[in-house]
Amino acid sequence: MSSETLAGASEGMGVPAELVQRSAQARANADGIGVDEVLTAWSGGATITPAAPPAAREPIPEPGPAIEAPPAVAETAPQTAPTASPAAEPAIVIGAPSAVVVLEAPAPPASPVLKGRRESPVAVLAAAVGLFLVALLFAFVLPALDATPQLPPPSGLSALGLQGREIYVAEGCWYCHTQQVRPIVTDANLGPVTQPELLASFAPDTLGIQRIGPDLAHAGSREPTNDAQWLTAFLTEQSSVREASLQPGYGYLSEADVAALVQYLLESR
Amino acid sequence: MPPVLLNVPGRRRAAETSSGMLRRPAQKIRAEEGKGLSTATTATRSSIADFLAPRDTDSAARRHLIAAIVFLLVAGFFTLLLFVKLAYPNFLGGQAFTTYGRLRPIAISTTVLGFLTLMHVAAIYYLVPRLTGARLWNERLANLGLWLAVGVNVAAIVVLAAGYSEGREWLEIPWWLDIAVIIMLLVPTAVVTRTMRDRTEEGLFVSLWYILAGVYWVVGLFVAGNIPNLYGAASQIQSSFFVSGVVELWLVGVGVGTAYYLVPKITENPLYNRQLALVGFWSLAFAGAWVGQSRFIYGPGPEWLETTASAFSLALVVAALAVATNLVGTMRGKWSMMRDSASLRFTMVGAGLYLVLAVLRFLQGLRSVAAVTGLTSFGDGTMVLVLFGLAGLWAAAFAYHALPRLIGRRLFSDRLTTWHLRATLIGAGSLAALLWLAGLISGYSWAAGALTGTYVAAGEGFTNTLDQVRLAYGLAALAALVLFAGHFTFAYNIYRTFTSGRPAAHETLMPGGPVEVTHE
Repeated sequence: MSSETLAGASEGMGVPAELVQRSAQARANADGIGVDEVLTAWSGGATITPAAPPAAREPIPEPGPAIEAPPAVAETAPQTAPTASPAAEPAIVIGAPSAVVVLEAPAPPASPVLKGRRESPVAVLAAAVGLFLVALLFAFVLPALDATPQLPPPSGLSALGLQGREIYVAEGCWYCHTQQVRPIVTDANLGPVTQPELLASFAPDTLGIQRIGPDLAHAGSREPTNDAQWLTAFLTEQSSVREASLQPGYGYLSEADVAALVQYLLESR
Repeated sequence: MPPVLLNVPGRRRAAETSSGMLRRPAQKIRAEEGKGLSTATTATRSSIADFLAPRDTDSAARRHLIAAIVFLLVAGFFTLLLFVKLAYPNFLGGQAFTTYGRLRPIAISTTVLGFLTLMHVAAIYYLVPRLTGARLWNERLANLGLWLAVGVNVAAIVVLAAGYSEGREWLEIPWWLDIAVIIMLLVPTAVVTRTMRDRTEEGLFVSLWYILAGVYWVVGLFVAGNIPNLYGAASQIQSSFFVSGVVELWLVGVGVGTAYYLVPKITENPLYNRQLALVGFWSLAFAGAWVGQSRFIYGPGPEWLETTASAFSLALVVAALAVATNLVGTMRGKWSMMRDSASLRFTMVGAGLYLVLAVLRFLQGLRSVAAVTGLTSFGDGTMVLVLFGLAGLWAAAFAYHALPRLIGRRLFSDRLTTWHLRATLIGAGSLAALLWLAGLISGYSWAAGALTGTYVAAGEGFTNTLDQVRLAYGLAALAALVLFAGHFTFAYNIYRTFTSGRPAAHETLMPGGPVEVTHE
């Protein structure tokens, strides 16, 4: 089809060329004529004489006032004369190019570019779920069993320390502090390397995910976190012990909770 | 000429058209229409039910999309606040619910379970009927699922702000909410499964592979993630399995499915290469759930698992390469359409990011790299770009494509989509870059401190290593603001499309495929 006609029709109708082309194609298919003829007509040229009577259109009930509709010219056969009066006709004139128009009706079959090959969804699903189960077994269940000691060691935490651990977990201390020491140079000064068989049997772990603040695996055995007073002050009135820090204040915790949290850190050795 | 039903949202009516064979789904519509109109009482009752959980074609997709946009604003706000609090912990005073430790799970849950999951479910409800040729099974159930999802998300925010965290990454919510999340995720699983059974289209388009597998994978992941009473290293393995699985198989996976729909649909080019699509999908299915432990190289978990995790993340590079190549190939001859189609722009930028991020995550899993970047904020940088860059851009691409077709209005502004893209790329990009930088600085200064003894990564010495990254965190808060501006632009454009978008063709479903009709 000529791009000039398309551009002309597009400009005349104030509708993007893409849309005009698709509408014209649908119109041409429905009427059994060429796309060029439709476009010529739409850009103000000769009227269309369809090769075959068009299929019955979908009736539009409750015709309202046409929105943004330019004076539309009905070109549906056999009527080729301009629409006489808007009152007598549906305001939305089918077949006429305008901003409000039924596009691509009747429905073309589903877009051919979105067709897949004939396949059994059950087979695809079975394979996908099967691969997932393999991963579940080998990347989660077996290594988790592997990393769980037969006899977990005693935690070494007092009742107060355990309570403090719960606060440590719930307040999300572990988002910024790890409690794991790796066998690499960055962690050389952090104390003994974390061994899976030495981790106590509490769920969840407090190994942590990143260090915005220092590692706390052995907080209780080094300066300054081995000092209960310093810790309490740091957690509640930070400015009294350190000028600038990224540590949020935990002044909102009750005194008992802070004491428990401090106890937990002191017992993390 | 067999009669076919044309279903226009809000007002269901029968219409005759000249093509399309009468199929089972259409008969179902008519059967449903007969119900509920017998007496006035049932009519009233059903009108309330229709308001809460309508049965109209595409209503579930439309409502999920709107809810996803609302949760994007919520998630964007909490993410912004999170990064401000990271740099300035005393901002807004010391209220309990504004501490970093409580904001972080809220920001993550509203992003993952709110914005991205809801947008993915909207995409699933939109794509599945269009690709299977069947009406969505039980639109009402799908709509009810949305209310559950909204309830779950709101409850999660309240519970986490109140400090009831279980302390497991991405699964901080209490057990009763975990159950609600699994039920919420089972709804799309059931709907997709039953719709597939009604399908009239024999071919299985690529997008359907990702969607079909994704709705099952995500349920499996949440079940596995909630196995109770794992401790120590096992608990860490569980978290890393869950987090990386949700990212790869659900957030990225369904996003790829959407991208595979959008590019052929908009360009009208057939998919470039089916073999590549097969490679991309099966690489993801094969390796997606294996790569979690690459975050914890040198950690207390088994060493072999760390090694397999890094090795398998190479398969994810293959998957990304296959998908990106396929999408680029599908664009052939139609690159100029990028100018007019926001969806194409977002999809293709997302495809580029997919490849870059896959390579980056592979590198992060290498032992020599992890020795520096491990346990630093480097990983968070990548995650921000995965959530808001990669998955977020594909979610937006879907919204920009589907919304005009769902409500019969043209997108309010194409210019704003460009600003949305710019703000997201600059915001999420610089946010990620700053966190990468902070991560590298931290990693190297810990190592340097340990080697030279000048300062140490423990106790008092840690402050020295922090001085240098503080600036990066401060700038990251600014970048988060730019990112939020992008979210806001997106939401504003969607809102204005509802209120003042110009009328346009409305795409609805007919037996035999989608069709465009005017929206009165």
